[in-house]
Amino acid sequence: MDELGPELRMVSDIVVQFAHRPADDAAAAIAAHLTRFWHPRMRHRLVAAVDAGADVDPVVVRVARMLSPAVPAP
Amino acid sequence: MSLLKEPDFGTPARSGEATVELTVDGVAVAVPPGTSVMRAAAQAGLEVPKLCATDSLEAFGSCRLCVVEIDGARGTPASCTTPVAPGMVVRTQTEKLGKLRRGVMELYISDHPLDCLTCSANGDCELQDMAGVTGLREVRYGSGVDAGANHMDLLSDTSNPYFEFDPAKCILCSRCVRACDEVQGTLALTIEGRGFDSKVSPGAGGTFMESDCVSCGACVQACPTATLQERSVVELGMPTRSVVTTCAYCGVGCSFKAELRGSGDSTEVVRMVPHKDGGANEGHSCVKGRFAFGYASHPDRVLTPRVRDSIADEWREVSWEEAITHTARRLRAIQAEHGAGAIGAITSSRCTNEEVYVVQKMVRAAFGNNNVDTCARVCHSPTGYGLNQTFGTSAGTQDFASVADADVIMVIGANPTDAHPVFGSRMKKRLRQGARLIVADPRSIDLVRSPHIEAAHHLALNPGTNVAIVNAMAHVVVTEGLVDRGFVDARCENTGEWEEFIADPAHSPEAVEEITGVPASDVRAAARLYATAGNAAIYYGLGVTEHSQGSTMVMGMANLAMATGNIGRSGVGVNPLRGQNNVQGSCDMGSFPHELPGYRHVSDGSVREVYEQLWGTPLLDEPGLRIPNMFDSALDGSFRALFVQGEDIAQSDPNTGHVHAALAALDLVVVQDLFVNETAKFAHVLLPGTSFLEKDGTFTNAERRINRVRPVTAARTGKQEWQIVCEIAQAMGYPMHYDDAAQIMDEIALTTPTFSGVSFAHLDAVGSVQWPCTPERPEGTPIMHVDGFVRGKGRFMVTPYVPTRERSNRRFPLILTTGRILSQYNVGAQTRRTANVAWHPEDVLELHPHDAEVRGVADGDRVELASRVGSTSLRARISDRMPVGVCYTTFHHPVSGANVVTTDNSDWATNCPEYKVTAVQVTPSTALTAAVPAQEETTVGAGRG
Repeated sequence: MDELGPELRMVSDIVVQFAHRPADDAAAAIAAHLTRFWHPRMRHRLVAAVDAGADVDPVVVRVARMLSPAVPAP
Repeated sequence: MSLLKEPDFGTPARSGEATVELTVDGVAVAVPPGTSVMRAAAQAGLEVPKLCATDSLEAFGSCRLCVVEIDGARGTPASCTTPVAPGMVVRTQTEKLGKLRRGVMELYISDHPLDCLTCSANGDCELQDMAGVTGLREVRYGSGVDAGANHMDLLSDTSNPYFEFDPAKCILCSRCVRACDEVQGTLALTIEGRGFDSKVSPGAGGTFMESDCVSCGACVQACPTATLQERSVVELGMPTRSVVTTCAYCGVGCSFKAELRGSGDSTEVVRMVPHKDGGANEGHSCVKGRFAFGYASHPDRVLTPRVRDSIADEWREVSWEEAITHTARRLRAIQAEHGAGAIGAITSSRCTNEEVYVVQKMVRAAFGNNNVDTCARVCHSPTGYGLNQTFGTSAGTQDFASVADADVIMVIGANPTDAHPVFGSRMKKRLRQGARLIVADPRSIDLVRSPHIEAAHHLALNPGTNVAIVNAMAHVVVTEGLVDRGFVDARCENTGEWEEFIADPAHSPEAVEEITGVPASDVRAAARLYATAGNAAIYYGLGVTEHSQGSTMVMGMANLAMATGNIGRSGVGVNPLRGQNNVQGSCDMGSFPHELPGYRHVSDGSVREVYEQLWGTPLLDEPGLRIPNMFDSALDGSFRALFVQGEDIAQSDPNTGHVHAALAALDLVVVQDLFVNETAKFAHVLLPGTSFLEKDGTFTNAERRINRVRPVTAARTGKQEWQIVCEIAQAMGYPMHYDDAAQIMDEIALTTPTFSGVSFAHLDAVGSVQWPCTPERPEGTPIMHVDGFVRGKGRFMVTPYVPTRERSNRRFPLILTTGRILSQYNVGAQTRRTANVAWHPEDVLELHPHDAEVRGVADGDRVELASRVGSTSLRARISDRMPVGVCYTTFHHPVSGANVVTTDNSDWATNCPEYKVTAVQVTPSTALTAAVPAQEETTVGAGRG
């Protein structure tokens, strides 16, 4: 996964921590976490990677959708 | 002892109300029950002669110099061992007592060399003082060799690099032995022999260096004569003045008197003496703080700024003006070409609060971004996250003194006797008094079994399974009805969801036994002990935080403490043992890319407004880059310049190859440091820094205690570090000026509510304070969350155990965990430049005997240590402290470079690196590594090869 960039590796590390929660709840919590702690450029890259069809957990796709409209330009 | 004397009351203080009234030499005095007559006299302003008594040690009653007369009592009792009684009438000065004391002194002096004028303790010798006080005018038995049998021909022990032991000057008061027992808790010294042959001995007749002595200096401090004397005093002579300041090593933050000779440019530090009034250390010290300050005057110090165009070029020494102008111009040029966000900075936990504050201000106001992070990223960032989520503030809950009230102490992923030795001694004292101990650590650290201490439970868990263990303990608490229901109902929230989660049988000790490697019965017993023994305190270190679930584990420990009501009073709490001297402070000062000072998120408009008005510039409301993000961004070309304040990221950060590649990719690296460290090898500008002896400011220790750091000597570089940062900001076009460091603290207090009562003047007046320190709480807050949590209600967090992605397999069958040892500090830049190398000249790899045997490795062999990301070579030490399948090393020496093998894995919430779990293989250096099967076959569970 690293070849796709560190953001996908890091978000997958986060997703497994929220696996006990329903997917929508998990996605919302993860999106909030990334908004609070990640540089906008990293969020952009994550969204771009998902948009480009990266092979990721479905929760990551939901996270990217939640982030997409809110991420400011890098 | 110390020439620049602090009052010595002879015996320790007793707590309680001063209800016992007595009269000493006609002076009325009231003291708490249990106080000695000697101390009562001292409190009345009357000094009773003494030699074997000092107020850091319990009374011993051997010298018989402190005899007094007490109405109604037979004979002349020793005032040090006689407790006060109501109505007692004491006389300390009578003709009879004078005669007795002179008789005692005659015996001492008859077997003591009379070389006072040339003795290194001349003027600082209690024996000399007592000869004067008692009016000794003759020695009827003769003296020295004239007195017959004597001890004058005993040889000195000069094995220790920092102090000498001359038994010919010993008066057998046992203060050194008692200090080693009572204060340090090592019990390395003893009185060997009987009668006339009695002598102080380190261990079983060997030298100090051959013994268990840890060179804390407590014996030297306690010695009333020149028997135990600092070499620096022998070589330089007695100090003539002192400055109280704060140690710059670990997060304990000990106060010291820097005892000096000379003045101005000729000032010499003779010795560092632990300060009795220091709130963190109360007169104790360790080998680093007490003795290892020589690096400040080491010839390797860089004192003149240097620049170069390329890291392949030679350094060119330049003026401060040129260095600052060059740095500012390059930073602005890079921003012009690559954007405002292409540069950033890393602050240092070794620097003062004031120095850190100005760096984050430079980044936010002059750089115009939030790309500032701190080395706490790689140690205690999960503490900040976890305690903030659960309690509402990013700091430990207690003061150090709280441990004296603990009934059960749980040490998790920490090794206080090595990494926080002065606090370790406090803890051991409480354990010797009977507090029970739980240790959760893969290794058998010293606390597991040492003199008079044995852990009730050693949970030798597999590396990477902390969360499974803490969940299992919480499961026992919840399912066995051990929850403090009153506390939880009144003070916590999210209780139902958490209890439902934790009560799941999947979290039971039996269910996770296979994962953790700890017998379920041990976990159950430890949980019951923690929950039911009274005051239960958790102390933890990097063995908690430096994991892929570091933040989860911090929240898990907070859950356990809340569930059992162990928050908000003395003797309990959740206590991070911070690694470096100012980890707490560097975090408090807004070093994280998402937080302004005081842990307030950059998205909070009301907080930004405070700074925007004061700093006169708009601030970004989005988080900046963390350190690992900076490295990744350097490699992708979006991040181009880095200012590194007093931190050696090229040695201390994980996956050295990755870090070096990132640093090499940058257009500009600016390093501010004492030495040409490993990071400076990638630098284009080297700005010489100041040692702690030259700094003016404050450090904040692990108990939130803000201590003054006072300049002992002038800055050898000609500038304070905060001045350099301000001048760079100004050269970049952002006005930033302070007259002195006190003004910086004034700005911190003005803008940060938890520091609103802090100023240099206040600290100078009261000694130290623990934040929150406000006008309403000017003395600070030793214990937090007393009546309520900072966030209102304590929040239980659901903490699922998720195994690390790092797994052992056939190719890498062992798990490496890393740490530190007593004599060295962090990357060793300071301690390697002191005589501390006598104890640890190189990093070694500790291996269990079984793991060594199957690999054909003998003790002392050189071995190759290889992981998935790199390999290095170091010497093996066979150690039954290690469990099978786990090996251990330190990262104090760049030659071995332990972080060559550690990986990019990190804590999910904070990106704190997972230093504590790396799958490795160990082979004898002569073996062909190609012979190792390359097939990756994951074994079940981490840490068992």
